[in-house]
Amino acid sequence: MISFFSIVKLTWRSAIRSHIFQLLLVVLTAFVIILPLTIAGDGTAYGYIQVSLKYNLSVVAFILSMSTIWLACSVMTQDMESYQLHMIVSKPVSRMKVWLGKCTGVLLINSFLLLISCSVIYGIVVWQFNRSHFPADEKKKIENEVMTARRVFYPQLPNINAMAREEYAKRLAAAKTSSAKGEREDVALREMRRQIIAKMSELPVSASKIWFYKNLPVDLKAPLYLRYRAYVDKISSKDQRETYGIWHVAVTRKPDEKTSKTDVVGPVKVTEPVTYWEPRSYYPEKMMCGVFNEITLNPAVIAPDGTVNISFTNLDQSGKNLHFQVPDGPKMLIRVAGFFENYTRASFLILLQLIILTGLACAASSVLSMPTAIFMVVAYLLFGTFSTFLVGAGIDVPDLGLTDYFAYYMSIILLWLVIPLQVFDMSGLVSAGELIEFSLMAKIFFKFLVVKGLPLFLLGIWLYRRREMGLVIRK
Amino acid sequence: MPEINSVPVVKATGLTKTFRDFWGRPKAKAVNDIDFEVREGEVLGLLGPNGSGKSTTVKMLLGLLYPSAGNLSIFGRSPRDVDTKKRIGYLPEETYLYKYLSAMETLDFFGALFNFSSEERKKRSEQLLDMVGLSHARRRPVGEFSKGMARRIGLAQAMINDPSFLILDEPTSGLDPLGCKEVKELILLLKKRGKTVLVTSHLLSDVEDVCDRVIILYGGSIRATGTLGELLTIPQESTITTPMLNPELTEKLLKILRENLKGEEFRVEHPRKTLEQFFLEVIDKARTEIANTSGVTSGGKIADYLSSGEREKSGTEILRKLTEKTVDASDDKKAPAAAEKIVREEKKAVAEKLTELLADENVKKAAPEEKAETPVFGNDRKDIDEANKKIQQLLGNK
Repeated sequence: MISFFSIVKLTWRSAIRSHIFQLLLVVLTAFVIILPLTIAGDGTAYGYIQVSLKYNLSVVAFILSMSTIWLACSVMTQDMESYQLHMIVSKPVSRMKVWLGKCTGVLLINSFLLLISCSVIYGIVVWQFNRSHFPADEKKKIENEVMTARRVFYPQLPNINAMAREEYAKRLAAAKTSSAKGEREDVALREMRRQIIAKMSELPVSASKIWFYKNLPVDLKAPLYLRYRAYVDKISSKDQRETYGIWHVAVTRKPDEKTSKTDVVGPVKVTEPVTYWEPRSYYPEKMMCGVFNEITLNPAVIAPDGTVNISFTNLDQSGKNLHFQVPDGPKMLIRVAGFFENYTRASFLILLQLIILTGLACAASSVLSMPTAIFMVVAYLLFGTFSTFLVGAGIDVPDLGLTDYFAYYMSIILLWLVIPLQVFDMSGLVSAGELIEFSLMAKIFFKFLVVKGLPLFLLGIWLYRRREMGLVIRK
Repeated sequence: MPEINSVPVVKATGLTKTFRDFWGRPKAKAVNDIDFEVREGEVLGLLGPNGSGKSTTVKMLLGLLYPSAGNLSIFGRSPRDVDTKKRIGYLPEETYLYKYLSAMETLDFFGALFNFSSEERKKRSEQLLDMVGLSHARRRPVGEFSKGMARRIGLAQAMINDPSFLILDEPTSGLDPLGCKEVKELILLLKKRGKTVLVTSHLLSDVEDVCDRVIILYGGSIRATGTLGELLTIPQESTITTPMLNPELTEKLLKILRENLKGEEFRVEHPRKTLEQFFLEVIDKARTEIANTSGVTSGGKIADYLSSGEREKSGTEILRKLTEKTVDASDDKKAPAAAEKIVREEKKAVAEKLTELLADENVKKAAPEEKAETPVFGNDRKDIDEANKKIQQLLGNK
């Protein structure tokens, strides 16, 4: 192990004495310290803290990612090209040990920088929050919605595919009786899905929409939060305004004596437990469209089987439709951990990203020169990003060309191989106060590090072991 | 000349290295079906002009290149075997050291690659720095070193593990004559201590001074191989070296030669020193006059940990054993001619052995308090001359 650590130490020394690395350190420090102090956000304290967290974590992850790729490729190739590596491999050190030593050295440097950067960002955000004279309600809102870690429960969705197939079958039956030209099945099904989802998100005036949640903790004592965003008339961030509506929660209970007596319509005798929609308010509530809103719910709304039913009635003053998009929830949130813990988890995922990048860069530079290795790694990562975009966009637009289909299916294949870096970015969740679940972290760890990353790292080590170092032309 | 063991440290059979282009087509055959051995305890010179295949052969020995055909083994194992490398020291032809590391850090790093403890690394590094005369520069980054200093630190790192087999690629490249002399003396000292050394060099005089055997490569093939005696002796000519002859004696000698050689060409002249010898004499003289020279010189101490082996044996004891052997051989009545030949060869070997051993003995006597720190380089010429006289007496002036 002495030889292993000596290589790790050498990598440290090499990096620390490199001018490019020193410059990078200055840039990183400048970003980490200056950026939070210059951010204005949307003018609110809440927005300021959110933007500070999101931007800073993203910038740090980006700079460190670039630093990792550059440093790993540089460390792996430079001493090979200057023949310094000849001195190492002529000593009793296996090439795998050399590879792992260099890889560990690079990773440790960037982990150290990550630790420093994340600590500074955390310190600055907390310091700004404590020293700034934010209004009490803003402070409370930040505490509840940002500087927290809440588990998210999404409403249960119906089987949209089954619904699409059913609708398609209906239309197919109708088409058989008419002379209309039929569409291709896959295109038609995709269109059905889109229409169903659009219809699901739409809420006409005076109508109510129900959302169903399950698996909530039945013994919860703390309040629940319902986070939602609605658009009035059209799904666009422009021309949004305030609207009105009433939230209801399905409650199952036997009304007590007091409830019966105060009933304004007249005395009602209820002996059996009943389920009914209890309004949050008997008067229409005002809410802003186009932005996220939160309402607090009593934990008693959770049924003994861990389910909750919520409904909303559209009472828009102009008679316009409201739109609740599927990704916007409404989400049910329960506080389960503190901000520090959530922030640490986000930082760990950045570390995981750096581990993967270090391994990829080291693997690429096992057989390639420094510029080629950097190009390969960056190209690989860009493929990941573009493939995600292409696959996400779908190809159900009629009359697409052959190249579009080629790009689409190639992207699907690429997504099996490449690692899209955006999956490691948890700054959105942290700034929204949403818990980064261990299950999500484990999924990312296994899917991207173990399944996709590790084989590439092992391939890199194998190639490095087989490589004839003496063939490298000295620079 | 010390006895050379027959155990091969390196064995190459049909060794071939073909460089190929991107498509796998043969581009150049750098080494072409060569066979050679490096035997334990010998200093072998690998000679050849640029592009002859020397560096390719060395790279194959170090596992940096893989043979395209043939077999290559070091200590009976593959050159790529990690454990084999524990016994190898390598000095590359140029400074391939990490420029940002200081001399001390450099040696510490290479020591760590052998998994030595930090105390051991520190001890060895200190001793090696002293040995190669770089103690004063221990904290200086290697990148700031002159070429000569870089060679010295390169030599030091090659010896950090007390290797059994040293590969020295152009060891005197970049060194001044004084440094060359020190390096050559170091090689001889290592040889005396039982180390096997492979030296590649363009400087033929360096090779001549230190090598037992040479291999001359050209175009990837071995063109000549053998001991220096075999290769360099001109059997058709004789040289007689005498003290300065007076004119009468010269005339007598010439007369005898004219009468006996009958028209053959001959000449009587004063022998010449080589420029290197002359230069070293001037420097030695200057040194005695001015204690502080401007150049870097060896610290003059051999590192303790470098295995001393033969050095610890008493020269007298070895002499006795060798003489006994000589007497035994001379007693062989059944083959008097063969016995006489053996006696003659062994006496010659004894004479050479004694020269070395007595030189050591003299050094020990001169500095008894430095028992473990015998000067590495430059035993006094007078001691050797005295040793020669003693040998002559012991051999009965034969």
